[in-house]
Amino acid sequence: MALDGDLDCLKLDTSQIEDGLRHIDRQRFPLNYRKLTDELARRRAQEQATMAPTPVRAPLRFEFRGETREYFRIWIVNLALTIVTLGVYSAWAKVRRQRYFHSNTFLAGSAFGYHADPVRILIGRAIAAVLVGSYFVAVRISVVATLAAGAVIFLALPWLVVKSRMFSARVTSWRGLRFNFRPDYRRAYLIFAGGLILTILTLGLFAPRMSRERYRFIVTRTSYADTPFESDPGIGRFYQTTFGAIGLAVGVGIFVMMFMTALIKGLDFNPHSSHTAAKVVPLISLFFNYAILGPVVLGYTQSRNLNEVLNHTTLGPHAFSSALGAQRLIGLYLGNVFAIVGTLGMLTPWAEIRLMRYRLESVQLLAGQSLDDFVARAPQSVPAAAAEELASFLDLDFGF
Amino acid sequence: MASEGIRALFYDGHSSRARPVRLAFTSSSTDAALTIDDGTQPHTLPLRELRLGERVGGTPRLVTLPDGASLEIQDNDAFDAWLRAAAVRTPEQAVRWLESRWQYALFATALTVLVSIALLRWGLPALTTRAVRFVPPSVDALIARDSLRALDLTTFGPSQLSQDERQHLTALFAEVAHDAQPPGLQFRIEFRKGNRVGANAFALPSGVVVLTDELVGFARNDDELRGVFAHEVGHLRNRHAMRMLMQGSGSALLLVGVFGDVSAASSLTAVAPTLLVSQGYSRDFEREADAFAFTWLAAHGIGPEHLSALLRRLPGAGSGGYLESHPDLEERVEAAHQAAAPPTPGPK
Repeated sequence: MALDGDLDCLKLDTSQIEDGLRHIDRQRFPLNYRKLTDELARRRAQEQATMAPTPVRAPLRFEFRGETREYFRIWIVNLALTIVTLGVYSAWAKVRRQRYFHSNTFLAGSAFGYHADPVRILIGRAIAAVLVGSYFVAVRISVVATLAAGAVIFLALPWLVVKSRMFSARVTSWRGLRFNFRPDYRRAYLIFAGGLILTILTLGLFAPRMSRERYRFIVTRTSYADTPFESDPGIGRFYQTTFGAIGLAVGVGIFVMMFMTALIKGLDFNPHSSHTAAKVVPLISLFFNYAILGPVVLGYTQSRNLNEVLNHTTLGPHAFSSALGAQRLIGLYLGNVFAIVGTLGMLTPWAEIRLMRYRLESVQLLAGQSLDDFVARAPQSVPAAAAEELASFLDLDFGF
Repeated sequence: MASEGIRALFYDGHSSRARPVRLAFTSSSTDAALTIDDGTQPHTLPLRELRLGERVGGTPRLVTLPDGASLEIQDNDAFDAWLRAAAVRTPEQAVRWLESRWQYALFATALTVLVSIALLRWGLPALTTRAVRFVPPSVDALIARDSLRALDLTTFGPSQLSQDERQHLTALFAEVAHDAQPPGLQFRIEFRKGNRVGANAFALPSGVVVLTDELVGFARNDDELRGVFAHEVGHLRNRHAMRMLMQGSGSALLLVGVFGDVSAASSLTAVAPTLLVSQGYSRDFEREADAFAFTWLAAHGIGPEHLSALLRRLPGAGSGGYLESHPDLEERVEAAHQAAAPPTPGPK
């Protein structure tokens, strides 16, 4: 005979609880009765809470809660610690920075998590620094050494991409479950090495196709818990974007050339002209490349490509929508470059925060059902950090 | 569900379900413990079995339970206040304290600026000056081993100087190079037509000094050319190519560390300072080479004005500007006169 109070409601399903409540002897088992009613009320409230905000294809915004002033303090303190420790602290600084951005990103009330181990990042950074250092030495030594180093990088690149994506995915979590990147080295070599060769052989005509395959590879090998992302962006859009970007670059180039001609003419009124112009012109063209052409082309292609990819991406029953504006993104990039250069880096935190906010808040998750139903069987091991660090030294950024 | 306590979300580690829970702390005589109440069965865990995640700014703290489940704290201030009261150390305590106050941020800004400048201006050059002693001079020859061949292909033409002139100049060069050569490395001179680069002389790390016909044309006597040779040998003697390689890589590493995490569009922030810094280093090296030249000239009874007279005569001499990799001509000539002036004050 069971004693009152030792009923375990969690083992019962909701219909059993309802059934039990209809038949229970309230006088004999007052504690059990209380437990059952409480549990039923809790389950109903929870059902409402989880069902109400996520009806079919309900849009859920990614919310970014980072603040410029707060982040400035974090950034400068970690920077000072990095410099004072001659770079050793940089691994901890990187983890804190990543944590700040991950854990200030919220979806459906839950924050993302970043779980990389700073010690492993430090080891990875040391290895990456030695490799990058030897590349720069090779470049100074001879043409043969440069070619050899270039060949090594070319051959290692696909492997690096896979390892670095594995690292970043597996140290990221949401609601206690990790992301994952399932390696596929054969496809990586096909796309990143084979695609590059094809692009060169076709004089660039293959480039938009390669760009699409690159995005598709990164997205479809990524999964959240045990659920893989699927993506099938249209190829036509990538061709449109590439031609658009070429047009933009030519337009900006013509503008810059006109500006330079005017500038050189202006300088010619100066008696020491030839000397000054010779020095100023290469610097200005370098500045235009980085500060104008780069942001314009990057903002345009990134916004259009990311929109196309994300608008055709699904995660189980859920879909995504992305509404990045090319003009807004170009404006953000241009403003950031001028702000950072103009303040010798001091506005970097402001630039980073506003870029992150815009990029995140332009994306929505279209929930197909409750977000509670993802499951994970076994956690994946996190690979060594060297590839990830090397990838960030080499600026292998895919705009995610 | 208990309405009291610290709000948190409970994740079981197997599914993405977020269960709202309330947390309460209990301090027994032996150990602090955390009670997690999900509205049905509260369970209590000793605090030492929990892994407290790091907080950065206002981000929520993640707490990992021994079975892989986790908590995302929602009332973080209350949770942290309890941790403080229970004297529980969190991993980020010290750095978080620094990050939370404006006066420390201000101090960090000043420290960052001053230490970066000090490292770039004095630290790195001092370090490479010492480090270069551990690299045998023969390694320098490896740097830019192909550079003369590359310059021959792109810029230089064959020299038009006669055999006699060459022999004479080679002898002049040998005078200067003789005492300065490190053991195992022979400095030598090559003659080329400068074309695009005009009147110029280059010191290649392999110990080769390239002299252009155009520069020979501007020289009025042998002492002026001795001055030029002494300047170039000064570059070789002080191993400027190797030091530039070391300082360049060091400063690039430092600047990538500072600006490295900025998005791709802002690479200019790393490129521009690197450019300015390396221009600064090459100005230092020019001054050092000048100093070597003036010392050598003085030791051989030649006035430093010979070098400055030649420099003044070269086309393009004049306004320098900050980005010029050679120090302002006036400054160099001034340095020459200072070297010429007797060490004690007195009439010239």
